[in-house]
This record gives sequence, structure tokens and C-alpha cells, in this order.
Amino acid sequence: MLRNIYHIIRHELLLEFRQKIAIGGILLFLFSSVFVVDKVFQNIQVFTWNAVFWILFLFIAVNSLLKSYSMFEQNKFMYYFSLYHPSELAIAKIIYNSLLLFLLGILLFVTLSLLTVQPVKIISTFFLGLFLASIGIGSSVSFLSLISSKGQNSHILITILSLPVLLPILLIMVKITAVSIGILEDTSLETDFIILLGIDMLSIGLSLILFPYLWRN
Amino acid sequence: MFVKSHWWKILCVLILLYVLIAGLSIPLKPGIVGVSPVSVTSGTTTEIEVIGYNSHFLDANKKSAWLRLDENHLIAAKNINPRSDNTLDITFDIPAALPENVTEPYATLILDNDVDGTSILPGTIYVKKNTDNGNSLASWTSDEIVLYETDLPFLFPFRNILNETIRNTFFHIAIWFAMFFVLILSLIQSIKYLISKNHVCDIRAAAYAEVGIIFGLIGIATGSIWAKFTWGAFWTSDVKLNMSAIAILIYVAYGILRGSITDRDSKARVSAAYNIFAFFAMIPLIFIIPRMTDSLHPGNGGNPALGGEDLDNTLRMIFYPAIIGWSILAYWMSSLKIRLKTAYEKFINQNKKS
Repeated sequence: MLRNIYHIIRHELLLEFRQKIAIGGILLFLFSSVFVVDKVFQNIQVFTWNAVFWILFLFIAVNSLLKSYSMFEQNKFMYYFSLYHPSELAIAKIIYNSLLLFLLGILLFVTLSLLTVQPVKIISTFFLGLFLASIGIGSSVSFLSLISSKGQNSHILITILSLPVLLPILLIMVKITAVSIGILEDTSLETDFIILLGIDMLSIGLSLILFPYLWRN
Repeated sequence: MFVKSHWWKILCVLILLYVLIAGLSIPLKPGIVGVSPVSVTSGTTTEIEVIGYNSHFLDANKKSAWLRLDENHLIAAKNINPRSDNTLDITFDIPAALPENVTEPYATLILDNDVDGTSILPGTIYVKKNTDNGNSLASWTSDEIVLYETDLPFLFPFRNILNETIRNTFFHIAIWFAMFFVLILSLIQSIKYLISKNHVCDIRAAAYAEVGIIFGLIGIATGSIWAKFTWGAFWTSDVKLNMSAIAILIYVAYGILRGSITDRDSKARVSAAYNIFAFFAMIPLIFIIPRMTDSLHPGNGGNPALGGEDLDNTLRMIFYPAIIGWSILAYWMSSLKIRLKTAYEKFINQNKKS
């Protein structure tokens, strides 16, 4: 099982770099949006920085994970279907998408910090939060992109479906980031992390349970 | 025959009529709306004007009033003089010194008479410290408050700020309960669909979710009116409110998802999966996150929800039937929707064949 998961992840990674347009598009989206933010907010405040970071992260997440199933051509589906168990595919997808999102988050953080300001004081809190949020967003968006790939207008559908589901994660992360920036004094940081972890487990568990019902036509 | 199969509809109508008539016509218990002045100075004799609500100050023969700082410190009124049924002048001899270890000297006014029973205005009157110590001989006592025996009719409790809006308990809260009832039915039907692939389950799940959205919107509207009269605004950026709006959005998204898939089986499968996912995603949204953060809404951030003094036995007599009544109504509405949808599908299938 672990071997199969590793194979799928490696296969996905190979495909990602072979079709340079996909990852290139996401990187271009990231850099251009950071550039726009830099030009629009001449003197960015830390509070705005926090909001802008998470809004950009949300849209990068939705855009980069949308292709995770909609680029699934029929042939690739058949290939995976014949080789692997659906839960292996689901776990591999969740791991791959979460790591991809975490890396994109770090990249966004670095570029936004270079071009604007770097307000985060407690780096470890911020990155632990970013990691947990990547898992939560990665697992739920990859599940929702599978759902939206079944309908027409999957670009619009994924945004509609994912926004309400992702909002609790984003709200908690805005709070955690505000604490790590130092603009909010909060003593209940542990409960925030526990809620975040709970949401992660919930979305991973639900996607694993529901994935087998969805993935084949 | 008609009564045998439709008894629950008759029950629903009767319960809702009972809720509407009893819930809106039973008066509130007597209470205190306001006092003036709201601050008194220690060591002086002060006359406080009390404005009552639904009270009968003139009819009462035996009257008493207290000003209470905490468990062990209270003073009885020196003189009580009713001006009308709803206004009352009370004279207090405020002691010269404030008791020690009282950091926030907000006193509670307690009125009692043999017609209205007890009415309380909690922690409103501020006791100012007199600089030249005054000349009053009175002192704080730890006497027990002895109340008169009254036999009040069946009345709803009077709560400050809530006042008459306490009746919204039968609508706002009960309608949200009914919404959860149909959303849980929708969840069950979705799970049933994924197990059995029976198309009837899909139609049912969709109908329950639609009715759930309607009830959610009514719940938000009634809550909004309640917020206007208690918090002062129709919509505040309170966590509970935002989360409830998102929960509605999730189900609207469910409707859009259903609309965007044309293939019948694929639509049923995908929307059932999303319904299950969205329902469980909604639970932290409504029940966990608002409780963790500060909120004005009852049931969050340390505020009591259902229970304590806010929901007493008189309210329960209407509140529990209201939950049942609205839930049956929601079920009734969805059963009509299910019949309509089934008929529509049959019609389309017949047209395809011919």
C-alpha cells in the first residue's frame, strides 16, 4: 500500500514537471499577484498583510488544485483504476496536494516578504499553522475538485463549493497569523491548533470515505 | 381514512396554532424597565423613581424594596410611594461607607409586592463614594429577603433588554431546530443513496436540503429582527452569525452543484457525496468555533444558551411544542416537494418514451 502511494506521488510529480505549463501557470499567478499587491498597497500595514497573504493563499490553492482531477483525462483514470485501490489514490492525492500547497505557501511567504514587508515575529507558530492549513485545504480542495470536475463550469463550481468549506480554516489561520505577527494577544492558541487539527482529520476522513463512491464514472 | 393517514398534518396545524396564539398572547411577568437616577451617593437619602412594566403598584397592599450589593450587603427601602401602576418612588438611606472588598459597587434593585411578586433589576444602580463621608446612620445589613406569597397566573418571564422579544424563542430557536431536523434527514437520505443507489433517496435528499435552506433563511431573518431590538443592529459581525450565513451558503452551493450536472446518476452520486461532506464541514462551523471565541450570541463565549433562568417552565410549555410543530411543518413541506419532484421525473420519462 505504501509502495503504491509512493508510486502515485512520484508519477504525479513527474507529470507535474513534464507538463511545465501547469506548475508554470501557478508560479506566474503567484508572482504576478504578489507584484500587484506590492504596487497597489504602497505602504502595507501588518493587518492588511495578514489578510492579503491568506486571500492570495486561498486563490492559489483553489487554482493549483483544480487541475488535480480536471486534468485527469479518461486514459489516466483508466490507468490508475486498473492499478490501484481508490483509497491509495485518495491518500496519495491528499499527501501530494498538501505538500504542494505547503511549498507554495512558503514561496508566497518569501516573495511577499521580499517585495513588501516581513512582519511575522514568531516564525514557528506561523509555519506550523501554515502546515496544518495546507493539509486541511489540500485534502478538502482535492476532494471538492473531484466533485466539481463532474459538473459543467468546474472553475466556477470549485470556488462556490470550496469557499464556505475552507472559511473556518482561513479564519483560524488569520487569527494564528495575527498572534505570530504580534498584533493580537491570545492565550488560547493551543485550542486554535487543536481545532485546526480536528478540521484536518475531519476533511481527510470524509474524503477517504467518500472518494470510492466518486472516482469512477 | 383521511384522518388515519393525515393525522400528523392536523397535529402540526394544531400545535402551530397553539404556539402562535399562546406564544403571542400570554403577557409577561411584571418587571422593572428602568430607574432614575442610575447612580446614588453613599451617606445620603436618595429617592429613586422606578418604572415598571405590567406592574400593579397601586393595587398592592404590601410592598417592600431592597438595594443589594452582594450576598451579605443589602439595605431595605425607607419609604415606598407608588404614583401610578407603573411608576414608583422609593427612598433609600444609603449607608455612609461602602463595604470593603466590593470593587464594583453596582447594586441590584429588588422589588416585591403581594400582587406582582418579585421583580429584579440586576446590577444597574451605581453607588458613588461620598468624599465627606455623609451623615447617614444606616448601614449595610445581611438580612434575609422575605418575599410575599403571590399566586401569579401563567406568565412568561420578564428579562431586561429582551422584554417582549422573549417570544422570539418560539420562532428563531425553534425554526433553527426544525432546520437541523430536515438537514439531518437530508444527510440520512444521501448516505442511503450511496449505499443503495435508489433514486428515490436522491430526490428526498434534495427536497429536504431545499426546505432546510428556506428554514435557515427564516431563522436568520427572525434572528436579525431579534438582534435589532436587543443588540441594536440587524447584522453584526458576530461569529455565530457569520458561521450561520456560511452554513446557508454551503447548502446553496449544494443546489448549484445539482443544477450544473446533467447526467442523472452522476448528479445523484456527486451531490450525495457533497451533501455528506458539507454537513460534517458545517458542524465545526456552527457548534465548535463560535463557542471558542467571544460572541454576543447566547450559547457562546460563556453566555448561557437554553437553560438557566432564560428558559423557565412557562416558556418550555410553548417552546418544546414549537420545535415539534415547526419540524413537522418542515417535513410536510418537503413531502410536498418530494411528490412534485417525483411527478416531474415521471412526466419527463414518459415524454422521452413517446
